[in-house]
Amino acid sequence: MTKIDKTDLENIKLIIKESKIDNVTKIKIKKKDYEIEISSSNFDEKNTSIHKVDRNIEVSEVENTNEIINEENIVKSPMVGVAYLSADPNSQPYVKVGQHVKAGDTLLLIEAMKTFNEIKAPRSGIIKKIVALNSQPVEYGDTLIIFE
Amino acid sequence: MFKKILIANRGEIALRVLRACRELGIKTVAIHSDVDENAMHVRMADESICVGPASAQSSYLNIPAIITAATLTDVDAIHPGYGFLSENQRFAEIIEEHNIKFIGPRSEHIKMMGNKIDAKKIMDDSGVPTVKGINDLSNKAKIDEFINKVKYPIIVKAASGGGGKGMRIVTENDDLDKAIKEAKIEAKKSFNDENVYLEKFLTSPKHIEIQVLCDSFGNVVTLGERDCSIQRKHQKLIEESPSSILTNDNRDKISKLCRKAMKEIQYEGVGTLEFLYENDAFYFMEMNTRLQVEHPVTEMVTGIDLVKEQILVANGEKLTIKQEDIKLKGSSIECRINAEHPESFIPSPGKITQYHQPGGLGIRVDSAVYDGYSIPSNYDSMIGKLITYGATRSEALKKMNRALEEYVIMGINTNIQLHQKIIQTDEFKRGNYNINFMSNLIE
Repeated sequence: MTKIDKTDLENIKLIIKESKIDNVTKIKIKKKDYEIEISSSNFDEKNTSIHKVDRNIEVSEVENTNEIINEENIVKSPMVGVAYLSADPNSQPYVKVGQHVKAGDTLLLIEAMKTFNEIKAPRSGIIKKIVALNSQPVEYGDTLIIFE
Repeated sequence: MFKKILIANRGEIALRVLRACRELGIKTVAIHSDVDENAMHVRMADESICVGPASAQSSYLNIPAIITAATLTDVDAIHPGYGFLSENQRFAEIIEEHNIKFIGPRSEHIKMMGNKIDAKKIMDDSGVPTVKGINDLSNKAKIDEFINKVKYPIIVKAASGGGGKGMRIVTENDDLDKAIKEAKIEAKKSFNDENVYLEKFLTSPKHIEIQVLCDSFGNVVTLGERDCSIQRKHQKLIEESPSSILTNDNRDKISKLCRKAMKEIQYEGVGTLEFLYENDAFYFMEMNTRLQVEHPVTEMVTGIDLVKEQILVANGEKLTIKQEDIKLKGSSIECRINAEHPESFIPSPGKITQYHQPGGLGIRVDSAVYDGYSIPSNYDSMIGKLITYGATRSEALKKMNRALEEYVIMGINTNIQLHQKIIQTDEFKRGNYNINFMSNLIE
């Protein structure tokens, strides 16, 4: 059985706020095909507000909150700047998900104060997830890459 | 006289220009990006205009936005500072087309000196010594002949290069053809110009540069030299004037040649001719057609305000300074204070939580930061310059030591400790250091 998580609570709050329903009498969460059903005494059975949320988007968030990632597998940003996944816009990205990298391999670049700083793999391993987005700002301590 | 000047820059140099304008009774317009809204140059200007978002490309390099700002505020002139658009020939041209004065040389001179091969040829023609080199790489026999004459090591350089890109040092054991090929690819990528040339590589030279100041009537003066050999990755860290190893005779000779070359090309404004100096001989490298970061050390030893002079000659005034009046008096050193870790060199933008700058006789701080200021990550890491002046080099050095100790910048990393380490080495104290100093120190 899947647990209720933060995302569910946030979605419920959002639905209540957006649809301006009050006197909530019943809340139902269905996890397969992700469904939230909210009933209110002000509505009759036919008007029950049902919001379907795209499951594909929600899956990753549910995963994030439920799974604890070992700190050692996370590559964090040593500086604030802009992340680049490839050497230049026309090149292939430095790494792909599922790729095996050696310690010292360049994972991505962070541009800060006019300098391009190579972020190197702290250890050998397989890339599980690339969290940093190309040409998007990252802050100090932000997760860039997760190893398996 | 100009009534109003737009300063197309940020940070300490925008402030430096603003101060000169204020003393000349000229109103100032600051431009800024949205993250620079609270920057000191904006706070101190008479007017300010936001020209774009944080990225330099969309703000401080955004020519249409800057021209629009200049038109809206009805300025007579634009000062480009250094970096950004200061050596952009097209920018200077567009400004001229809008009947606004570009405070710098004519666009043709920016173009002339922008190409290193052309610049070298011009200097060669004027009798300024250059490094022996070969530009035409199509004839293999000629290349071999050149190498036989000058011997290895040699260096491959990009014609439009800068910042170490498109450069390869080649020794006897290396593959020259491969080095040329690689340099071409890198040059094409970085400067969209694959032209490269070969030069004799000097192994342990000093970097010495000569400051020039020229008006539109053909008057040219030189203001001595700056020794900028303390560099890391082609970025200068410490500069001083005069150089402790240059004889008066050598200085006079090279200065005279620089004046002759400037007269011949009818240069206008301030400029710097950069040389390598090895075994008592100068070799021209390139000319910067703008104000330099390290101009204060020259100001300290000559007593001449270079920015004011630059504005005056741009306004069409005749130089009042005569060459014989220019005497280098005392000694001045400048340390560039960067927001970066003193050992790892990782950039360190962020909020300054405590700030105290040194003071006292012979101490000058050119900086635009203040207590509580947040240094954005979008621009250069140099946040200020600490300049000291003494009657002798040893006095200027003692003052630098004391001032670095006194300088408090909390909340971010700075290279203050690195400067302390550098100036306490025997090599720096003796003054006979060369451009390999930093790589030797770090290793």
